Amino acid sequence: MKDARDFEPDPLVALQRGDPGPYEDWVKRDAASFLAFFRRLGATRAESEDLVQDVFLKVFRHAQSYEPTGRFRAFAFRIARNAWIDHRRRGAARPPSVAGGDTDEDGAPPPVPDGGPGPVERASRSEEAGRVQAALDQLSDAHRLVFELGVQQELPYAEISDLLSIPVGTVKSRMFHALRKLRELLEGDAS
Amino acid sequence: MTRPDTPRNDDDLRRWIDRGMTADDAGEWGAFVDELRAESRLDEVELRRDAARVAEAVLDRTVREDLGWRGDLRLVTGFVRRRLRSSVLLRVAAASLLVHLVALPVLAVYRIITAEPERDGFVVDFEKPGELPFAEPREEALPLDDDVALPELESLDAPSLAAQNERNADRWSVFRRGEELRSVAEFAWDSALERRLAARASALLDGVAPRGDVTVGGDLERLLRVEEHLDALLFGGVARHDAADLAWLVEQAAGDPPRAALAAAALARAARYGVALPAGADAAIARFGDADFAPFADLATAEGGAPLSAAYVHALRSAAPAGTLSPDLDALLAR
Repeated sequence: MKDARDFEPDPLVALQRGDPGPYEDWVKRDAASFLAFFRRLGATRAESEDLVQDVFLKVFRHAQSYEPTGRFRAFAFRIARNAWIDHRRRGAARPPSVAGGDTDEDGAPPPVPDGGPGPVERASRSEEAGRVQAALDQLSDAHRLVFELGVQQELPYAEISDLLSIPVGTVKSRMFHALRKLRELLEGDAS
Repeated sequence: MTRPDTPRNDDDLRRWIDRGMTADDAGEWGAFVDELRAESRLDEVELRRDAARVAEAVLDRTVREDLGWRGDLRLVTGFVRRRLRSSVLLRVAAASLLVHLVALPVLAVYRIITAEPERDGFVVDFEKPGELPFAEPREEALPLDDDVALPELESLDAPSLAAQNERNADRWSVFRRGEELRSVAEFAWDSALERRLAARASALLDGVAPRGDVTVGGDLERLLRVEEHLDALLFGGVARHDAADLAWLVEQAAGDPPRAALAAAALARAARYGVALPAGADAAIARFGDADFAPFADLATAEGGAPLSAAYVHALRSAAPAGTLSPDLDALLAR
């Protein structure tokens, strides 16, 4: 699925030409996406920030040796996926306490934004978000990654396949099982 | 949450996935996925704030890297900020450090402001003499006798150091030959001369004057008496010989050996002990260098001149009547 970002210049190609502008724009624009990516996978707020910085810096250091063979965004998410795997291997990941209104490592509740929903509505949303997050936590890493990349990041199957080094059919199969599992968990929880 | 409750859920899902999960024919599964997206959406405000911060940090370390001191400072402060954010203990320690650093100058200023003016410090100086609270003692000279003299200086027998040393040497010779002299003193001698010598040996060992109850008669008696008087000087006694005895020795030393040798030996021993000798004593002593004195030359040595030495007994046997000194005496002294 193509979007506007497909037509933007490749940041690393621009860096190779000595133009830091596209890289700067990409960092500012996609920092939130990557933060959300890691947060939804289970990292804390501080861990997510460190991971995102790590990913952006690694991308920057790849500038000299980079050869554009596909979409840049898939390339960046491949680096993000590897960073997440390394992070999990170090055993640093903890399941997030609450999704949506996530707390930081100090356990402080998020500040109420101006003009946002009231406390009751936020509590209701927080409860539902917690159910969804708990259900997502029960997915395997493989299913969860496919769900995150396909549903949240809306990457096409081909890019997910390339990113995770699995066939497209496997991507679809994992997506099918992930959605069906989530449905069962949430329906069973609701009943 | 919407529950897709049709029996063909799985088939619908599979078909929808195959079509790429497009929004056109999403159906109930599309609605389900949309709800999942909505419920798993993070706090936008917080996310945007965090994202801005992360982006600035990344750009500062990449395309905006300042290689100057500002860049280094930014790196350091960024590191410190991240570490403080990640650890509660570190934040507590940093706060404590800050409090101390801020409080220190305040306390110092307070101390300076409220410090008392400096008093006169220590002055090192000499104490000037003043009136003593007591009267100083006055020492008066002790009365001194006009005729103060050391008794030793008035003694006719006061020996010089050399004479004292000679006496010490002979005293040591007596001590060293104690066993032999004890044998002589305890032996049952036959002749009066032998008993006289035994009494002399006993007296030497005991450090006393011989009792003098054995006499031999003749000139030998006088010779023996002079030697016994000289023995008394060894143990701190006063000399009991007189000038006549010394003069008689000088006269005897001018005669023929062995009696002359015995007399010269007595004179030599007296001279060694510091006894004042009459005129001619030196010449008499010098006769030990004569040829006729050669058989008795040992009497002039330190060992031979000691009391009751073997050389002395040898000379005495030559001077005494035959048979008055048995060979047993030599045997006992020679052990």
